[in-house]
Amino acid sequence: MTVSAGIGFKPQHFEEAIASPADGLWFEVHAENYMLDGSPRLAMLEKLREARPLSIHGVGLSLAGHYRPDPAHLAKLRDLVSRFEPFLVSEHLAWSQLGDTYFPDLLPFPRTNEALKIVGRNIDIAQEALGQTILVENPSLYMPLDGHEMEEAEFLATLTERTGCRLLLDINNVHVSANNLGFDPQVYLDALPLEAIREIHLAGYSLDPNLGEALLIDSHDAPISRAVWNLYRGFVRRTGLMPTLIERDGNIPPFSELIAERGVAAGLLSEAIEPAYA
Amino acid sequence: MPDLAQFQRRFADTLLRNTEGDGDLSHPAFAVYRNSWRKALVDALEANFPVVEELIGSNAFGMLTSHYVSANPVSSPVLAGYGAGLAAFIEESPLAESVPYLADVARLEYLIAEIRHTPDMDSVDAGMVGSLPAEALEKLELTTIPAARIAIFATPAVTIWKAHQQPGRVGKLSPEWKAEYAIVARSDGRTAVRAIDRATAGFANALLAGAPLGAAAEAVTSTYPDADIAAILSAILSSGAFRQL
Repeated sequence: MTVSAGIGFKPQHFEEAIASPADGLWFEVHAENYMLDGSPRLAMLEKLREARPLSIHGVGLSLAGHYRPDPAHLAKLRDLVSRFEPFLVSEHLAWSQLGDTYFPDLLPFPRTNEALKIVGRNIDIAQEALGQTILVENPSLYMPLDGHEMEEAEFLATLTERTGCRLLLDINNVHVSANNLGFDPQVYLDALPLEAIREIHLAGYSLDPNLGEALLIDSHDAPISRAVWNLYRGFVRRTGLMPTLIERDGNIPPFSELIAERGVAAGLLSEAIEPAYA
Repeated sequence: MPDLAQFQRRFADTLLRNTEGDGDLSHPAFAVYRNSWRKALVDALEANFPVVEELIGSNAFGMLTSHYVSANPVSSPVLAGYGAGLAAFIEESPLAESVPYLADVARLEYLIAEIRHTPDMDSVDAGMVGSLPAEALEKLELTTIPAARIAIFATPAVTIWKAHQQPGRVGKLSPEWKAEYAIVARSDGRTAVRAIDRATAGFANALLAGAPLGAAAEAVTSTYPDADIAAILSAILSSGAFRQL
């Protein structure tokens, strides 16, 4: 099966997910939700995997932390990867762990040459332990930090050259960061190494309760915005078919609504493969 | 030029202090980071303690969980078991006096959360047990399946929790103020909380301590001379919570 648009899997959607006839449908799960030895949730994931291609998306490796990735956590991720044979494995350009404290969030850092070396080392360690290439996702940014030495697109491109990792482009994150930090999202997209992109994420955002539109929050709790769809349409015209995930982690709607949203992405992907003017 | 380790320490300290940051971390948008890691932990508590939240309302629950999160940061990205200490935390808080059954309800909800991710295992077949000759029955050793817990509460936490599973029943609730006992078990994919009497709880705990059925029955009869052993055994077997050793 050729994968086109997929959906972030939620256990409450299991029955509908495996019964769906949608062409090109696939699913993605957060690795950490399945690092539960013996849990019935793993049996459910096995049934899902039998029905559809699966992507495993980690949130806890803390690749942009100065510590090396935790070997125990990497071992659990490797176990999931060997058991479920995902067609993609991805993580974030962010940190969440410092010593014994884990912050369940994706935290920013100054993009320095030092950080580039450290993140590259951490990706090398992860790829070595997993025995495969990982995709690294661009973060949502909320505020300027002191000490950046390069733009994010350049940082990501250099990582792909140094480590062989590929990229997961989250277009909602690009829109959110561009809005919050005042850059042009199209310029950012144009600066990315197109050939390194292997997956796209789409999600909805919310407005900060105090600052409103000046501060967009990557909340994954709303439908995808028009602005993000527009960026996506333009982008996939350049990439052609590209596995695209609809993410929804809050205010989770019925499965049929997510199927409708992924149908839009699937439609834009087919247009991108066979343009109307061809 | 900030070095990464130094930047992370400064950022993490500011997050943990839950206050305004210095320098670039004094930006108003830092609040997004300050809130979101805490919210992820509060969400994990909400998922595991829905009846505790219903009992005290979302404002009080928000305050409780916010204090709990500050005192109990996590060390791992796997959050499914978060909240192991919430019942004890409630006992040390003013809520212990105003809502005296709250800690027990939290304890019960955590048992439910705990067995959610335990492996499936078949329970003992009641028909097989029923067909055993008396001698073999007395020697039979049972213990709980991984997805089962025997619970004892000093308060009517089981009645209160059960009332919160059925909308509309809560308003009419006036439980007798006494200790309650339950078998919490997942069998055939469904988790159930079964109220049991104290003789049945005593019997179950004797089994868990390694007594075969005969010895467990004797122990229970000596403490509770009126105990109906046949009814107790039937409750134990139909709970789906026990397996043969």
